[in-house]
Amino acid sequence: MLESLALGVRSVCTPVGLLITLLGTVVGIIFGAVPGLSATTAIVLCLPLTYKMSSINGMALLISLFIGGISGGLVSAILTRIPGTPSSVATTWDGYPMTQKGQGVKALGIGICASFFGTLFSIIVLIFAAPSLARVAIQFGAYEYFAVAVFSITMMATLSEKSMSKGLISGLMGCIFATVGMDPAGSQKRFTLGIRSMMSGFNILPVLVGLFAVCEIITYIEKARNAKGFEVIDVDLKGVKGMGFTWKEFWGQKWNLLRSAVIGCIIGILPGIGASTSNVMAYTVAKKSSKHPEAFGTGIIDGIVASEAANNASIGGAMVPLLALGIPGDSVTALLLGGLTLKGISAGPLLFTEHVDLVYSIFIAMILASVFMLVIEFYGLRIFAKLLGLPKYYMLPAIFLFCVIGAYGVHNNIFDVWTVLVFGAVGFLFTKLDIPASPFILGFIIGPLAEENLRRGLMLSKGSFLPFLQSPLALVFFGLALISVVASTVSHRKRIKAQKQSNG
Amino acid sequence: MKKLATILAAVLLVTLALGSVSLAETSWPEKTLEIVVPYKAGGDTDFHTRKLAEYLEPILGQTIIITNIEGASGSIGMIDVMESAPDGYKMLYFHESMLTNNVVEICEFTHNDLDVCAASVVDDSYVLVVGAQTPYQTLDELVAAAKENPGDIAFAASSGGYSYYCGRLLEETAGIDLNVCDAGGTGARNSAVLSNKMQVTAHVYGGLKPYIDSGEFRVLCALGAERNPLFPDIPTARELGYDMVGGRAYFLSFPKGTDPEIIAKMSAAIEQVCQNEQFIKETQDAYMTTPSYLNTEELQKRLDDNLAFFWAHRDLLVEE
Repeated sequence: MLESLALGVRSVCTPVGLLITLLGTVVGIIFGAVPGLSATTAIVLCLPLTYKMSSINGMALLISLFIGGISGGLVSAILTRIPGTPSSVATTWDGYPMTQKGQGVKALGIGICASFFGTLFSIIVLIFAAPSLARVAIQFGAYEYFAVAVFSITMMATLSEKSMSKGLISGLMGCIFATVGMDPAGSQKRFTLGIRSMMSGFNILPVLVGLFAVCEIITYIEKARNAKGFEVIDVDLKGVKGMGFTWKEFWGQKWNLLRSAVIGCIIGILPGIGASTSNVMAYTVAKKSSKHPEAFGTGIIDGIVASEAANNASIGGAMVPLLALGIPGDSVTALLLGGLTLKGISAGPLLFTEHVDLVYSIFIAMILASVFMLVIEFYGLRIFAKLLGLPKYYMLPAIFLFCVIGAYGVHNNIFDVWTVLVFGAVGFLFTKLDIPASPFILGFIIGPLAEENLRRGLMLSKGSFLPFLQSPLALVFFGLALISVVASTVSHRKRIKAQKQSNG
Repeated sequence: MKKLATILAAVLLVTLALGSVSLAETSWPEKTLEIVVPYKAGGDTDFHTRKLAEYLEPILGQTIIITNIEGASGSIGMIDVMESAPDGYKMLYFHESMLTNNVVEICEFTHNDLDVCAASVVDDSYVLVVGAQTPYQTLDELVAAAKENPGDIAFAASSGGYSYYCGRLLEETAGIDLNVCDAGGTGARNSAVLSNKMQVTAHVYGGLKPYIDSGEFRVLCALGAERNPLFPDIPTARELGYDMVGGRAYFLSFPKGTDPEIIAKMSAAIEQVCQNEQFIKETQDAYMTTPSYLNTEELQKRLDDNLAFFWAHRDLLVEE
């Protein structure tokens, strides 16, 4: 192993290799930080560049974009409440309140460190356990994924904040909007209203950008109109040392960090779900197991740590089935697989024996990229924070422009631009009606996963539901789902009781 | 002898002259060209397009940009090209899912709504595999087992896709009843067979190669009309007495109403690329298939025939 690692170091740590990794990380962070652009966008755009590179340099570029892109999302999530990527939705919940309290730098600092920890943790898991973990992951078939989806849907209750019914309305609407387009198992068109572009349905990125970014912009404009001016959030940089938090605070998060990284890693390993689910899941679990769950959402570091450690840990997780078995779990790893195929390398069970140099170069590139990420974001921290001081009438139109360009850029389809605008309006309506948007996104991601696997499972079992309950792995997740529902109901009841008591 | 040489020289001259005339008639291309791939970057269609474009560039003397417009099994990108100006500067590179999309009614258009140009690859590397944990050593054994327990053996397919067609084709040809199930994309189908949740699947050799090499998948037969020179030890289904053939053409088309001279010039350029040894090798290395050129006429006929075939055998594509 040490020999192989040394081989990896030699292959990646060439002047060109280092430069590529550094540039990849920087570009990734920028794509992650700008709402509308994401890690996937960055990789889609840069994939053709790798065709002319050596396979090791090419993979180093793609991987550094991946790591930078997932982490970069925290910047806009914390500073503007607009998640830069789908994987940083949960980061906004405590990140933005901290910014409002003037603790933006601290929030960024803790987020960056959690990101770094999550990435590193998952890389270590990847290096030491990839082949055996991947074998477990493929034991997840339709029955098991359906159970995971059911469990994930129960998290809507925790995301519902004030009103359970409004949260569930939002979540179900997410599920319904996700059904637009071709159905997953029978190629029937659903709710396309005869519009051809609607055949491919709504894409997650434009929906997210509309719901969060455009909605935030409209809300801001409204506020400014009423207040006859823009509010400027002050970020006090004086007296802020290093990352803006103390070692003691960070140490206090050790269990949260570890738990969230484990959750992120597991979710990442399972093909089909990834960072966009794990950040929400880790946040929910952190909230439920916290001694002060009521403080979540008010601007505490626990929420940021959970979300950021988890989404970055999903990176190493997602690489497990890719490198060990050649099975891509999401769009990013599918692109990485494409990158390998183009080089004539077939990723599969033999990759670890036939292309040891490549596999270990990927590990080294991942470690390098996460270190670069830490360093770049550490020095960038003050620049990011200064961005907040920019007048909003410069910043918001620029963000809006990127949202539209980014939406168009993913699939080169003008329909996605309309999606952004429509969901911007939906999001604005939601804020007016005080309906939370996060359950919508969860429903939008998980709804299709549940449907697809339920239908596949029923096809395989020839219509019988029994096999769903005969799979031990599925039973575990159904059990967790049950616990989650009961726990939410109990705490909901308690809260209502407490409210009634305090009122009267 | 001298006479013969003169005639030969004359023929050669005329051919050259004719050739240069036909090339001189159109000044196309005068600016950057764009090829639309109706799928994500990184897949097989994307690979074949980018490789073709790379070798077309020096022949045509222009830069070629590749745009990936995915959605609705390739229909969104196809419609995008159909609706573009037929000026010869925007093209579509797609394969025969264009036909099956029409048959399963994802898309109301066919190749007849475009001006087809030429095919650069006809991938006939489809193979039928079972997981190594299954007891079936040969196609006959699989068929016998399926006859004994109808509907018990699961075939991993993707609904409305070519794998689904292969599974149904096997059922029809062998007169057996399998459980042809939707299992999703290539990766998901492979993991279903690796974990023995499903037992059989079919795909291009290149997509299964890692598992065939590692011994986790066992190849029962190839679906090409003849043995593939890149894996000559694998018998075809026909040799084994099952008359089924699979394979799909990847081809370039222009919007309807494009100048025939442009199409002819592009077709000639594609033919030239298909003879380039480096191009052949790179395609073989990545996808275990050998580039094969079909000119406009041959391609049009193949697509017409296949469209009629798929409509006649609609039950092999659509679940009733």
